[in-house]
Amino acid sequence: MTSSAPKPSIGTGDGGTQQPDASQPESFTAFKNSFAYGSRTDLLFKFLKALPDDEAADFFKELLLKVGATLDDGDWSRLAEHIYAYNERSYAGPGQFAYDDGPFAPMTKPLKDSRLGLLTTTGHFVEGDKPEMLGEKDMSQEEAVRRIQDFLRAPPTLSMIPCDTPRENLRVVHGGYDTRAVQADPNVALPLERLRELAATGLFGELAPEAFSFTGACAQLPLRNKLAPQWAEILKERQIDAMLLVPV
Amino acid sequence: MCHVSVGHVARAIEAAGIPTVVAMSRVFLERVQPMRLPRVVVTRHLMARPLGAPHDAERQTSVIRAALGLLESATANGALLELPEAYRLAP
Repeated sequence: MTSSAPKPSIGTGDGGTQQPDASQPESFTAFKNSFAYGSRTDLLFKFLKALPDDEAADFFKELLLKVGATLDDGDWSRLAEHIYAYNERSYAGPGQFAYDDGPFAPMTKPLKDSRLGLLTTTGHFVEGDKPEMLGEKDMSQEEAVRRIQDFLRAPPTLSMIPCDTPRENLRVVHGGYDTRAVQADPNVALPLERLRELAATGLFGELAPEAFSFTGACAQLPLRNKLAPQWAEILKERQIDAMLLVPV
Repeated sequence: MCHVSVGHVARAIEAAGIPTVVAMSRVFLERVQPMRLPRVVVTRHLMARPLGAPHDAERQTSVIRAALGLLESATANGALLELPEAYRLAP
């Protein structure tokens, strides 16, 4: 095992083209990094790259112990808690953007009278309305993963999703996260069905006619300086009173 | 990265006068807190499953209810609600 390398940031992989050098024994560092856009890409475990070697080694050791215990009692929740705990460690510390203060807009009317909007970073769109990504009309999920570095340098496109869209017409392409759960049930991060149910109870006035989604793995400065203010104007034009935002 | 992206969007929407609430996994909280977002609800859910497991409608609904509750109850920037429930499979 090699010594700990400087802590790299997640998402600095080469887009999946890196292959182990067969003439050299693979180091543990290379092994754990290979889950983040490398030869073993698995976006649920890409966080391993951000962990120092000793912590990543502990992750695997404890994981195997817990798998063994789970084989005997079937209590898989210890596996979820284990992954969650190391996931949290990997993202500890501040990000690139810090501000001295932040805005606050109070509610202007009661929730029960408000038009509620939804915006997610999940990369959802409606079948037949696929956004052009990186200049390509039909980006596949596999290619989106492979080209994650290109996504991180490009401004995102906002998709508009009618809120009555049935789940079978929702599609997702996003190279930055494990999309298996949203494929199984979009409501884990794009909760249109849950919001329709809650609107029917009268908890809020109404759901805005369209939800919004974009690929959150994108160039940050164009988003912050240009697109986000433009999107805010779109929401104002639609007379939306409050927004639920869900990042993945 | 998605969480920082949502941070930019939340700040812009809020600056335009529309109140926002972010519902997200606690995993990313330290990355987002320096962005000074107005209202954040965090779950102890795995990444890419912020509102709950697939088909766990009950949990998804309870997270959304908590988020919408924070929209009404928050009185200043920095409102944070930490939901304690661990990730679970749909009952």
